[in-house]
Amino acid sequence: MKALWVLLGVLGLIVVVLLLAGGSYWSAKNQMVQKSADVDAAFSNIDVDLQRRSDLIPNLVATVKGYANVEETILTNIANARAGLMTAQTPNEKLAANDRLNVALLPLMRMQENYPQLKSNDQFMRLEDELAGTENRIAVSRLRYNAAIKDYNVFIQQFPNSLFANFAGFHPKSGYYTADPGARTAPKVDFSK
Amino acid sequence: MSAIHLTVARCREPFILKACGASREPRAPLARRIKAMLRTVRDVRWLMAVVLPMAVVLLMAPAGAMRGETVKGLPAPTGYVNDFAGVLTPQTRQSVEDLCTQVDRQAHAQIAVVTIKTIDSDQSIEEFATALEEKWKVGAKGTDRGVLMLLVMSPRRGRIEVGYGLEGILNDAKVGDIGREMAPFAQKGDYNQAVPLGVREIAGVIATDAGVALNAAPVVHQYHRQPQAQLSMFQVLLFGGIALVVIVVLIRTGHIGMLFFLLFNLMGGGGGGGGRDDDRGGGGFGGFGGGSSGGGGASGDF
Repeated sequence: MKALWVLLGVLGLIVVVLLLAGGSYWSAKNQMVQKSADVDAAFSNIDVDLQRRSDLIPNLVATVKGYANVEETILTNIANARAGLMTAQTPNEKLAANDRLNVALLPLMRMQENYPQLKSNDQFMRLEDELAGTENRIAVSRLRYNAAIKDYNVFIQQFPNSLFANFAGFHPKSGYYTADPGARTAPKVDFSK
Repeated sequence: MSAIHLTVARCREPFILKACGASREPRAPLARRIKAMLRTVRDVRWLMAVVLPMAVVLLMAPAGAMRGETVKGLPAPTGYVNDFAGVLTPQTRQSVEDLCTQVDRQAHAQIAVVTIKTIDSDQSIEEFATALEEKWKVGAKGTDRGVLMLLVMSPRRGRIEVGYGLEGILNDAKVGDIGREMAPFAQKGDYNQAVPLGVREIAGVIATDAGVALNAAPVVHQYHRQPQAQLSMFQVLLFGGIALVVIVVLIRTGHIGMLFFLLFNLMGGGGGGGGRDDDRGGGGFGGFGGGSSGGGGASGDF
């Protein structure tokens, strides 16, 4: 009789442990799915901003052309860099392509210094607002992208979750976008100039 | 700042120790022990009433010195207009408040005006504005119809940050134009002209889009306070007390194992809901809703 009770107790304990483990796995997995989706959403925000910037460039080129004599090579470089952005697939490729576009745009942005009428042109000023706003949007979404990745990575590497993460197919994401060689040379649209 | 934190922590320590010591009195009957515990809890509460205000005063003191502002250091918004730099007259403040209230009521968009003296040196105005918007959440949750006008006195710089929901009508170019209109006044330091002008322009765009007419008549303020999700001191003590009693009873009756079971259970269930932590924009003023922005807007010399 006593043995039966012990057996029942052990069985009950096993059931309780299994239930706890199962529940813990369930909730951890759901959260991982959520956080992984957050990372993707954060990147798609960068993508939208990059696209927006790329769309502004023809306007910018047209406006500058109206006032200044733009060398053909500059325009070709910009067109190529833009095409590169369109064909880029992965997050890192896209961001790298954006950096190349920054560099290609540099000569165009410098032209305003030599053409005072261009600088005081309403259309050009508004375009600069849009460009600066878009640059800022890219910066913000980049920041949030990194934050989302960090949140995800920390979550799947923390103790109880780390046991489940591999099993559930969640691996640390390395899309961390910290290195930004282009940022140092990115055209800074500055009102004070 | 951290030094003060340390001193506060150090002040508190003795009381905690005292509380623990009292509850560990050897061999007293359970009832008397609980009574003693409650007494110490009252003691702690009384001491907290003295210590907390002191701590608050200590923490506030450096803010008075006012070097660079950080978003963290800014107090909660007290209205649509938050003139931390003190450049607006009460009349201007009131009229802008009225206008913003109308925009909020009729066009369901929120405009926040913030003036500060100077920003902590390693932050750009763009970063500051985005961080402030993340903290205050100007605009309603879901619609994100909010505008944050941030004016920094030295070095003079202005930014109008536009929430996601208004980016369509207040695009960067338009906002930049508004900033440029404000610039001549701001450059003379005449913010009593610049701010109403800018807010009027923004309000006009929003009102036109929403198809409503804003009249200049003053409106009655009805700031509804949002119920705060914070636990009061009493609640914390109550729940803590109940938990303590449960633990003491379990230990006395030899069911320590039960304790671990409960603990595991709590851990297993924790986070299961995946609850969304909606951090409202601070205390008193219940106006700002939960909007967000993605860094849209324009900065300039205003």
